[in-house]
Amino acid sequence: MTKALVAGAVAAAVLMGGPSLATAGDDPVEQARKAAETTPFSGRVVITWNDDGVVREAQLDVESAGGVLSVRGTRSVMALQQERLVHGQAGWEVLWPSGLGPVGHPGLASGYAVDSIAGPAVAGYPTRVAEVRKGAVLRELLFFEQRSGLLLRRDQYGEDGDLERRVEFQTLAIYESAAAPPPAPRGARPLALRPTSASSLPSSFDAPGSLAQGYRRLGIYLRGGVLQALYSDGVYELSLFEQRGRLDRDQLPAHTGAVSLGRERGWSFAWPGGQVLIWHAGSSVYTLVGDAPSGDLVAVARSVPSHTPGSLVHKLRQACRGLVEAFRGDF
Amino acid sequence: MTDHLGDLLSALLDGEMAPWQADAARVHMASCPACATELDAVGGARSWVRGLPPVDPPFGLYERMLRSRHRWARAGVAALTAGAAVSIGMVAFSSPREAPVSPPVARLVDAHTATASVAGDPLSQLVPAATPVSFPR
Repeated sequence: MTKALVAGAVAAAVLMGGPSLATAGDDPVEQARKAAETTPFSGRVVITWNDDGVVREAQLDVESAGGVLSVRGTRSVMALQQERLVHGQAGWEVLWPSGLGPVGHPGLASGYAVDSIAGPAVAGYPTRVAEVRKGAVLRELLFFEQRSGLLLRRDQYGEDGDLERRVEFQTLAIYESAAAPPPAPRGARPLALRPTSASSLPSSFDAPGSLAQGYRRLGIYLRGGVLQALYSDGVYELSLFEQRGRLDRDQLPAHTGAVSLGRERGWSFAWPGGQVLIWHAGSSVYTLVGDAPSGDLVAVARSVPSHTPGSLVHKLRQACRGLVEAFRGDF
Repeated sequence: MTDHLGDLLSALLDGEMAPWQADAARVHMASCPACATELDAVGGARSWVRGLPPVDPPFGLYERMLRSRHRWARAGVAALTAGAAVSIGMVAFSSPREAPVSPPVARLVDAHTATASVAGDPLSQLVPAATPVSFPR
């Protein structure tokens, strides 16, 4: 969520004369982030999501104190300032190390419009709502707590206007004084992650500066042999992962749906936070993860350039493999 | 014309020689008993063959010949197709394929949520990460 979105929401709030979301000039989402890190609170959050037509729900306990944000569901996730940790089978693991610095935000992509209106109470706290539309279609509703700026509810809609995902406080207690922070994990397994730049990427990888639908690159990271490029259009964040090799379709997760990506075939499936789209093009396997509507994901996937060696022998070999795979019924 | 007539005798009998060639051939045979004798033998044989009664081919001969030709044609097409298929297979697998990749979906999703939570609202981004779903294969 970008500063442009924030600025738009703030400006709309000011224009409408309603209670201000925050101090003038502040970014509501940035303020929500700070509030989540600095405001002592605890409560229960419900997440509902559309899993290929089936509505699923999960409840999680959240707590923030002393700069430590803790989310406890089926497993525990923790945010310590910039650091992100998850408690898996092997104990605590670092998902995002500290010291990498903030990730920048792009401006709001063209086509978006933001309005701010008075919202309903969420978990007993009054809110202001930022309505995010793309064209005439409502994409997001963001419910900010009026005093602290904490994001209390987030509704995400698909291209057809149906609710795809909701994260909402069911119960919430905001404390005036700081409580004891949740215990910080010790001995977390470190993460081999290295930020890099487009100019220093190995020649086998590519991370274009921009993709379809107005997505712009925010950062590039190498996780072992996997390249991760983070993109945003100002509303949604997408990660494009690239691995060298060919896709082993026998190992794809079950219940994936086939998606046409023009010359390539992709496979998509839902997870609580969005959609995953996997495909193979050229000499790479791509995995696109994000909370954008599926149509955006497909458009973005189609705009990803593939590494296709230009030699005639390679093209002939690829054509022959395509024929063999077609007769094997792989496609 | 100093040598024997040889194959020219058939041309002479068939009337395929120019008049001056035919005259020269007859002059030669007048002085060459071997060619004259051979001309008589070739002429006799041709008359004998032409005198044979006509014989109808056995019933179904042509059909059998055509069927055989189709069978050969089919066999040829099949052989070509098999050859093409083998060639395609050899070209397709003539070099080692790229290493098979099975994206670690759960880890990639975790990586994304962590990164997105740094860029966006941490609470709404991290809640899905605490709600993992399995990706059975």
